[in-house]
Amino acid sequence: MSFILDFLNRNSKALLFIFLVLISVGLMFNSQKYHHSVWYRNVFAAQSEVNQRYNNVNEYFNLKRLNESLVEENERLKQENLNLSKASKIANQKIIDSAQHHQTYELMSAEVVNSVRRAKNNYYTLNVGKQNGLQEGLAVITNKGVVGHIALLDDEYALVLSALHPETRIKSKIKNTEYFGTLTWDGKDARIMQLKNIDKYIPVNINDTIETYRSTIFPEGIPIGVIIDKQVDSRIGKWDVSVQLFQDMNALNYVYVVHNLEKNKIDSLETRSVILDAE
Amino acid sequence: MLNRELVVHILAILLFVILQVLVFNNIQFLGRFNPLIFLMYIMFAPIQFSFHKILLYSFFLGLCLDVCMGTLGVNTFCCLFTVLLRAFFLHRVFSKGEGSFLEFRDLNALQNLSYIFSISMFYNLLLYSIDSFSFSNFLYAIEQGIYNGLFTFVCILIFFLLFKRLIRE
Repeated sequence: MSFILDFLNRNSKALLFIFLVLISVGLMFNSQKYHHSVWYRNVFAAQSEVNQRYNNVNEYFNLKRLNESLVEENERLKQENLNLSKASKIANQKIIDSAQHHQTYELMSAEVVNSVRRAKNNYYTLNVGKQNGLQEGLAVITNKGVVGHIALLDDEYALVLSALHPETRIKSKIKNTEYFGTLTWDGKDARIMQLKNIDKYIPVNINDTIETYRSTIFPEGIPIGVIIDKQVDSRIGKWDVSVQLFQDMNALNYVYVVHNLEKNKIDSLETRSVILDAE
Repeated sequence: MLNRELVVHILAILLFVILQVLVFNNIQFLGRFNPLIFLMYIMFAPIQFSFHKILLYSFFLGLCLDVCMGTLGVNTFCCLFTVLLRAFFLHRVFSKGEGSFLEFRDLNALQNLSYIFSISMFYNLLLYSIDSFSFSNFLYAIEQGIYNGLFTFVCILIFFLLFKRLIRE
């Protein structure tokens, strides 16, 4: 017994160090679900509050650029308006390309109050939340491209998992074709994303436009960027395509949250397919 | 009765955490670099502190940061190893032998610079390399770590020069 006490006494520094390191490593490996931590929710709310105020000041300096972007957006919307049939105009709702793609989407504009950028994890905080009728998993876009999807919700704020995040996968296709692949980010350059999973026999040209493919999250046909580089990954026989984004992800001000009105119906139907498989 | 020193240090740690999370994490120099000012606590905690004490305080500091930044465990882990580096400096570089150390006020400029520089770089490199574990681009993460380390070093140096007197007393 005295031997053990003696040992503990002599090595107390090392033992305490090892003990604390083990705790931190344990925390690291169990932190995947930190989104659900009550603590983080509270801190997130407080942080957003402060950032909102900070942002109010910051906004004055961005007014010129913001104006330009609004004019551009106005122009696009006007043109779209002209092209849309009267029947698809529902009060207070903008419908993207519904005539062309047979989808129903409701857009809600939101302001980016904060952005968190670290080596690999990019998040944005929006000033809309549960009380605006949002739910987790909704897409976030701008007039120039995709931003990401909502990962965490508070009553008043939403946390968006950026497209520039290693876990984000966006189904996208080459414009005017039906060839689709997965858009991911390799973590290097915030202006460039990678389009994978396109077989090498499919014609891919530099300067082709990439847009979103139909999914329950993103509406089809939102432009994302242009192809600036392509090479065949000889190991898997597929294209490795670099896509330059239209949207500057470091300069986000106003974004749109896209609510797919059919999403719940589609999801519940697809869940039932699991039951079919089980039988 | 609560120990006065304990209360003072816990308040100091909470102050550092609040400053870091609400102010310094929003600096985003060149779009992505934030100085890790809380490292000043580990650097300039009283030199007479026992290893146990500074280890526990730093553990608490890291834990608070992790809870606020949503990166559970990562900062705690880095803080613990930074304390190890601090202990190395105290024993090997600043030690006068016989268990007594130089005080921060006795250090010359070169010693001060190397101490601040080493800890800033070490912490950032460790943080970014842990961050890159689930990520393919290790070299890129190291590069980012070096840049952020240099930025942290410069910021802490500025603060050090501003609050020199306070730190030395």
